[in-house]
Amino acid sequence: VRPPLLAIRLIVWRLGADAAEFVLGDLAEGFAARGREQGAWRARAWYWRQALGVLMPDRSVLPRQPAPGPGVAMASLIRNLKLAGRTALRQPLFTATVTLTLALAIGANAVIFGMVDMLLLRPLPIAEPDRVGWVFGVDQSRGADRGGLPPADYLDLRAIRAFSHVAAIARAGYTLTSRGDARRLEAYQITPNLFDVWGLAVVRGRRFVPADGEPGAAPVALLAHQFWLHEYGGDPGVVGQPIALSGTPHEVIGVLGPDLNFGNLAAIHVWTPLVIGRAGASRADPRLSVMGLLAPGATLEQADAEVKAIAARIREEHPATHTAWSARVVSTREGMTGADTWLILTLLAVTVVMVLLIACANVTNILLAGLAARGRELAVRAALGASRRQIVAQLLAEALVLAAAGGLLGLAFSHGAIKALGALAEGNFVFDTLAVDYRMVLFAMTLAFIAPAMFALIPAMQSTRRQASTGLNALGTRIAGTGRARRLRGTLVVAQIALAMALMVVSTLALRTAIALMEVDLGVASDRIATVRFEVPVWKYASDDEVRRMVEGAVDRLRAVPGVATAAAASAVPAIDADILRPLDVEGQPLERGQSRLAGLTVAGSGYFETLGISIVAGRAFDGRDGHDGRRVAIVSRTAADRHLGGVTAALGRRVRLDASAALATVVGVAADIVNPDVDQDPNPIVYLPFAQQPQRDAVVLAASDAPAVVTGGMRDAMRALDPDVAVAVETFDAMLGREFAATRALVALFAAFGGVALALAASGLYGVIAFVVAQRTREIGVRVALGARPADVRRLMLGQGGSLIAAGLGIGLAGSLALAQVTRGILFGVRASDPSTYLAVALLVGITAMVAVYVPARRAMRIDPMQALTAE
Amino acid sequence: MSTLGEFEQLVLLALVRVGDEAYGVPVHDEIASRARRSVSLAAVYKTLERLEAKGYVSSRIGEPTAERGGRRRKYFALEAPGRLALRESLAMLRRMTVGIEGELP
Repeated sequence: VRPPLLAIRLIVWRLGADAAEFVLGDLAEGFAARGREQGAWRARAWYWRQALGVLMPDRSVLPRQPAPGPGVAMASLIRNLKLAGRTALRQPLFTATVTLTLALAIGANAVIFGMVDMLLLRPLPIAEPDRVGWVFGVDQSRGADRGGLPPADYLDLRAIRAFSHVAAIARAGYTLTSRGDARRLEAYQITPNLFDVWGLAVVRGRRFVPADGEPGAAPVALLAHQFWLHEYGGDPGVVGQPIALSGTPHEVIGVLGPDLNFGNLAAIHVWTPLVIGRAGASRADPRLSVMGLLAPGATLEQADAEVKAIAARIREEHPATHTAWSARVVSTREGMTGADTWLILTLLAVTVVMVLLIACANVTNILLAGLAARGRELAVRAALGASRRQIVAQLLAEALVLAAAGGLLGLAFSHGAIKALGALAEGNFVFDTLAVDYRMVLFAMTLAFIAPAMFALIPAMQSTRRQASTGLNALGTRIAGTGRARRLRGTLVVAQIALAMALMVVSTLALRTAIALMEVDLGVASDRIATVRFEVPVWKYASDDEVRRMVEGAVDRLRAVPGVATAAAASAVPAIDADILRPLDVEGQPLERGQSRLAGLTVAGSGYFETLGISIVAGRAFDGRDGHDGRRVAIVSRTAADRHLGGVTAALGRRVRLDASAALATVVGVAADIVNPDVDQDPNPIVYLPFAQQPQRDAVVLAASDAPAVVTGGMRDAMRALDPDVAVAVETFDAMLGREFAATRALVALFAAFGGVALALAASGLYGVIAFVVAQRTREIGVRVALGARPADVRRLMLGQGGSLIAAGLGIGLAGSLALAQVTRGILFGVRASDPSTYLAVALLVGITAMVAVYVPARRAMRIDPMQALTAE
Repeated sequence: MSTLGEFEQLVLLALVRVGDEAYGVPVHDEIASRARRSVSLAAVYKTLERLEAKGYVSSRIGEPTAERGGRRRKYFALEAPGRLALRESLAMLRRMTVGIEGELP
């Protein structure tokens, strides 16, 4: 590791080569020592701090500097601030404009900071996140690289030497039956060594030990802190008590720490050991999240290489389930926040910073114009003996007062925005948890203190550049009307338009993505469906037959609910629940080596296709013939027929199965495709089996109705009347879809709002500049008119000036937005990043808005009365 | 004679503590660890230069070493006028605190 070259250059530049030699030598020693003890990053940071010390000497160590004491400086600061407050109140319109502009920008930045803070900056509930590697399954055929792993693969992966522990987590659900009405509890099943990998601690009782994860171990459970507080009132006596989870008594052995109330983990009520026996572990069901703790000295790269090697061997040995399959190891940050999350957050951050830049450019322009008017006042001050430093300090104090007001108002804005986002994205963890907290306040106020440096320094320097005498002799109003200032303002406006254009393009692309997502044809009549999810309790209904009869009873009762047209049982909600793909056996068509044939399974009761409005393309739907004692039958989706069974007509009569131990089922029908739950993927091939022949303990009953939201109450009552021990979740299909799209909606609202704010700010900035130019050139225009220029000539002059700024802004904006849009490609859906209509529409919108902003002051220029203009001075 | 600034005092005391082989790094580290005052190396050098100009310290150039990337060291040593100024400055402090030790915060 070497010291930063730039820092060395800067030091040599500041001290000269001779004097720098000894300092650089010392720094090299210090750098080497810190590099050894604290790592390269800290050493480099230290080096840069030292370099800064050289560049900006620490005045506090220099004696006898006639610096003003802290008291004097404080008093002058307070005086400046008071003066600034009075100045602000004297010009209410100016103050309101600037404050509002800054408030919009700071508010937007605060909201995004809140999201970044929550997702990326808060400490994780993991003791050593840098030592944890997250293992993802990769399925190249589906373009999925963040998949889970099947249990059998997990057992193989435990051999990795780069990991000292490899743990697995599975999402699970239980019905809580021992405390009042049956309720569903969300759970994580974890291998006991997750405690080692994450460095988890319990606040009561004991952690899981390896014996808890052995097959046949006594069932135990740990309570989440939140659940313990709410359900048990934080009673420490809960340890050792039994808790009935889905009918099985578990012993509560402890309570986990409050730091797990984080992200998705916040939804979890109980944690139980994940028991995986070598025998019967599935190769096909990728339901495990796997992560490992790096052994001392090992790296993520080594772990990744080992995982890939083991994955290659698994692929070799199990071609039926693992074609085009691999696995990879990523860091904790990447593992916990999806790749898209990073991209979206970065994009949002870039967007809000742009909004801030536009706002600052606006305020700079307003200040420049304002200072032109105050040129005489400042000149008088300077003539009376105010130093340049004092005048700059006063102007900065004014800016600070404005920015502080903007910061406070901005926080109010962000509070409102967060409330609105929460309502829009109901149920989404990020937007629900987002709130104005002290970190956000700190951030907003920091921005408020930094912003003046961005918008006030240039005007302050500009206005004090001229000698005092110039200001008194010449007309004060000309001070900021010099060519240099005019160019500066022009540049700012061009930059604003370019930024606004880029922002609007990204916003529009996001908007069109969201619309495309929400308008995807699901293939089911979603607006007519209400759903009941439940788990048939094993302790009451032990056999498959009992499960079947229970669910059939439920369907009968639900069909009888007033307002329900039809109802059908199923294993999952189509288009919402992820399809688990398994190898498909087709009679007389053995798999060749390296070939795979996967299909998802949906178990569907009689009336399923009718209820959901899925049309039967060939053959028939399930009906009364397909009872538990009838002939084994199946229906396949069109994609399954086309891809695996030689087409729709050829598929009828073929015999298939999804489970090598099950009986072959004859295909009696082909159903239309429904959308893939990953809407940007093609439909999955689906095999439907009759519910009566394949009863499912985790069941859904789908009911069709003209008013699905109205019948949910009746459906809940019907289920309670059937069996109060069954915990049910009743919901309309649209409500489920709404939840799926909650985050999308909120994100789109954010992008749209930022785009709109950017455009409004840029337009008002342009208006201000042209209006100012008109005011500046009143006299000149008066002369022109007096010499015979017609109003149309004057308008052309003004529009030409504005038009060239707009054209330059749009040109730069187009290039910028093309570049920015390329970055967004990964999150777009249904629209291309280079979609010409989007660019054209945005360019038109920005251009027209900008032209209007120019036209209004240009019209004023047309009406200038030459007599008045010429006598005004 | 002129009085010493507070930081000048610290630097001179650090020179005494480090001894013969005093150059930038040990002087800086001594002030950082003992006085618990975090200052930049640049500030230490600035002060040493000023003290040298006053004749309080002298310097000599050492040999280049590999650890320093072939750069030489500049060693500093306390001279008699410096020793005197330091003694006087500390004595002044002690005189001012005599009898009020109990009242000091």
